[in-house]
Amino acid sequence: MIEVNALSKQFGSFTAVDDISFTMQPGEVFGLLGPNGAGKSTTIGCISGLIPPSSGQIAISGHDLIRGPRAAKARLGIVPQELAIYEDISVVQNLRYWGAAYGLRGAKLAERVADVLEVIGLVDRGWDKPKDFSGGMKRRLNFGCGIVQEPDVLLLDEPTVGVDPQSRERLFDMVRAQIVRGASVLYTTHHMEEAESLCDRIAIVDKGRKIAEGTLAQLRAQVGERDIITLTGAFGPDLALNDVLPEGVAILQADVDRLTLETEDGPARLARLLDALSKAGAEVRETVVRRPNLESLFLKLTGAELRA
Amino acid sequence: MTFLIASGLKNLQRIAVQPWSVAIWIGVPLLVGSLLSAVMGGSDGETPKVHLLIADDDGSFLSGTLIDMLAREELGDLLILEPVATVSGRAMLDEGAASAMLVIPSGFQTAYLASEPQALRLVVNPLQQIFPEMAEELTGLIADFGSYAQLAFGPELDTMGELISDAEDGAGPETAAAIGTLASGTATKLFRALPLLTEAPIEIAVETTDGAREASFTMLFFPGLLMMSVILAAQGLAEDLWQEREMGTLRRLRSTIAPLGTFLLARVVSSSFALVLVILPLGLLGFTVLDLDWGSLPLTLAWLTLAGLMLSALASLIQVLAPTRKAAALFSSLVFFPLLLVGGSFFPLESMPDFLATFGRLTPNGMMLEPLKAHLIGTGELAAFVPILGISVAATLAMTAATAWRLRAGFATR
Repeated sequence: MIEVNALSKQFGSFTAVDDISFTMQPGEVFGLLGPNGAGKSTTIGCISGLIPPSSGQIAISGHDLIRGPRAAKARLGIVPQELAIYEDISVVQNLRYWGAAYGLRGAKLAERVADVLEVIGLVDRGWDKPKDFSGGMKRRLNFGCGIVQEPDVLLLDEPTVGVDPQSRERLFDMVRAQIVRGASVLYTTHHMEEAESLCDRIAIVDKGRKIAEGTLAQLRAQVGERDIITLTGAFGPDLALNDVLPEGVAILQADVDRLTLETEDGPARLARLLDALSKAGAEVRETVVRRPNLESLFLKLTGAELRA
Repeated sequence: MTFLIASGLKNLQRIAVQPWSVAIWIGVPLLVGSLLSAVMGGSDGETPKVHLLIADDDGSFLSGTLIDMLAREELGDLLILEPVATVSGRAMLDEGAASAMLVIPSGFQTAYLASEPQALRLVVNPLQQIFPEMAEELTGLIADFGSYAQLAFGPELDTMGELISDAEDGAGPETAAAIGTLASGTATKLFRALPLLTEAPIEIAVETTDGAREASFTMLFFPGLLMMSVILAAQGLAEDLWQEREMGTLRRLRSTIAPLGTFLLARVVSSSFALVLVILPLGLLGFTVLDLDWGSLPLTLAWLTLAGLMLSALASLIQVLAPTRKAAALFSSLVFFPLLLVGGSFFPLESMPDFLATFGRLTPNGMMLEPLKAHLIGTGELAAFVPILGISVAATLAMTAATAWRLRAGFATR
């Protein structure tokens, strides 16, 4: 449904997206996971036709976005990160407007508006104006305006920012309903839990580059069944870590105030590890043990936290 | 077509939820027009009177006669006279309590009878312009009259001077009686001649051309008032572009297949409806009060709507060229407020200095105003609209195209 091939985007001397490629199949949720500033929104901007790529190709349902933008965009639906609805006209009028913007008319438009009202759960609020709605209800309308034309591909750019857990679950249900219909969903987020919960395949991006891609199981396998232990404290420059650390503990990152280590069965080895460091003169103030997950994979691949 | 209709309806619905904006677009010109008409006497209203203070430092028969002439019916319709002392009169002028003060200096009678040159002083209120000028005109008339009377009644005034001199030297009661008889007879002749100041036996009859009506201040001002509401509405309608950008709806629109041209065309259509909604109440009121030809109303509405679309296109271009919403509001004010002032909306072009009126006629609003005003007064031909129509349509299209370019170039995608 979407083919992105060697997509790059420069803003002056700054490279926001650097040679990213992936494909999405019908009925699949594809996640773009990365910290703030990784290039996720720029990638979405290029795919939605708002940002012209510096290089690369994008095809939506077989239609080249650059050469045939109208045909490509007609199959695309977008749920932007910020709300993009008219708060001073009713829900129905919002849906009619955005449906008409995608070429729907007449009975088809009326039918789709009715269907979307059901999907987003605003049937009894159809003639009310969003300015009186809760944030969650506005988000639902925002979602509805992106699916009124029954897109083949749906782009969701961090749609749960500022959303309460109940509304977030509702949003996930609406996304899954689109999958059942056969649409592809490109979902960007910096929340690991969302990606793990919703996505069939995930690409991890950092500093504009794709650093990993696969199903959740495949990505976890890259981490292995090894825990990540992060220690914060004082680790003097003279500390010979390789001599101090117990066998089976690998160093991922070492600074004078922070150690990131990898080992199997981290909780069981923790006591020996702390004892060894203490005897060597190190001072440990905080300890975090992470089981294998996307965050630990990101940490392993980049040495940085996934969350800013 | 469906998107055009949906977009136009969306725009109108969003205007409808801002009744205060529409009220301002109609109310401000109504208020300004009412105030200015009241100040200038309206279409057939009472002529305003000049509050003139009189400081008679001479206290003579002749100075009293001069004051009586100012108070007579012919000039009394224009003047409110108030005798004061010079010092207190100055204080009143400083407080703004009067328009001017005429000071008759001590020795006025003596100098007049001796045919010596002299000056009456007219002290004006510096904060006023029109009424002091009227006072100067009116007292100037009296001064001219007095000068001609010196020539016409020269022998009588010479005799009067001699008799007064004799009386001052201690002449008997017969001298006083002679002075009284001569003064009375001369004054009677003077007052008989006074109506000539305002009703000359030879007059110029003023006629207007066939079909034309005499244009009062309110009549000259009315089209400018309508244009004021059009300008306010055009500015207000254009501000919506920044609103749509900040709401994210412009960005979302650019990701759909809806053509930007259709979006802008819908804005033109909805703006037209909004402009008619704004112009119609003021137009109906003006046509009723001024008793204008109702057959001119459709042309007036259509022409002003076209003017509004052109001005809205200008306002929209300013909006999309500005880097921020605040800058857009500032630039818009910097452009449109001067246009309001010099383009005939606050003051009729006829009341401005020639160079300013010429400049005003070159402004977009002034250019549109002139043929309409001429048509409503009855001095203009329909053919005069044609070249202006061409210019305004071309300008509207050019500015709209520039706005579309700017929307595509980044305004709509940020």
